Amino acid sequence: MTPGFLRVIVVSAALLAGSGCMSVYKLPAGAPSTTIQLPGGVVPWICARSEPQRLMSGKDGKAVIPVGERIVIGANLAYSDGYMNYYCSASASFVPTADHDYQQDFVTEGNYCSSLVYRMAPDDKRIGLAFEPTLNSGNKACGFRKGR
Amino acid sequence: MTSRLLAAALLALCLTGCATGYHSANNPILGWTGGYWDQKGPGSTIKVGFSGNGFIKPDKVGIYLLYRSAEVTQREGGTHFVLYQSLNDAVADVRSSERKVNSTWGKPNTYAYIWIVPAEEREALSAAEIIERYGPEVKAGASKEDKR
Repeated sequence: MTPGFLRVIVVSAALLAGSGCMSVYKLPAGAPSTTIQLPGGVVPWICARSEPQRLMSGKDGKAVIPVGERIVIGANLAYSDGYMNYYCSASASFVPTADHDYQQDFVTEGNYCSSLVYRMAPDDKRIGLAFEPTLNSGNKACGFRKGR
Repeated sequence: MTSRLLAAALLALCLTGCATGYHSANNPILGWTGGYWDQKGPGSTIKVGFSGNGFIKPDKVGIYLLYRSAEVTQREGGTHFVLYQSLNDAVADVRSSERKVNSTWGKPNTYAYIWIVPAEEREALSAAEIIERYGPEVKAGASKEDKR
């Protein structure tokens, strides 16, 4: 077994572990929407009046999300080095509007991970992003769980 | 037969017992231990990263990242660049002269966003100066996998 093949197996197993048993999010028919650019190498998810659901992106890396209500966007990272399994989950909440597109950023620093959402700013030639004014904590879990 | 066994043992030792050297993460053999990578965006920035294994020291990963940032600047036809430690810093335009590196799950991995700028730009770093300053140390890491 080549190292490359072994790495594919390990990464696949880690991604599978990161996705858990989440169902795939589907935007309600006819609902207004916008898009969010998702990071690679993680399992993105969304809570939009629901339990966490897997957020799937198209070939361009963008996913469709609802607008006009506070949603939680998160991501799970599962990693295995062959001896230990590591897992990290982070999220942020915000209120998307149809006037803007968004970008999710997921970073690991030390043994912590964090997730932020930025607003696309095409007029800014330097970075092309701006801080999202409605951004708030994702509280790790969604605020729409049963019993809450 | 003996020479093949010795070669295989040496390769296995380098892959498992040596610190990550200065090479591309896409290197078909040494890339298994990590290495440097880069991707364009968002905006005019370029995300440059270096992934190390458990045998390389974090401060060395920081030097490799700075050196690679200088190389990427020259590859893109630039002479100077601005370094951002995170996407958040890039959006806020908080500039740095180095990247502090923390180990994630025992492995020092880091990244930075660079923006190629004219020499007169505020807090711009000279690619030529960085390559001259750290060249001998980095080339030593490129020519041999330094055993811990």
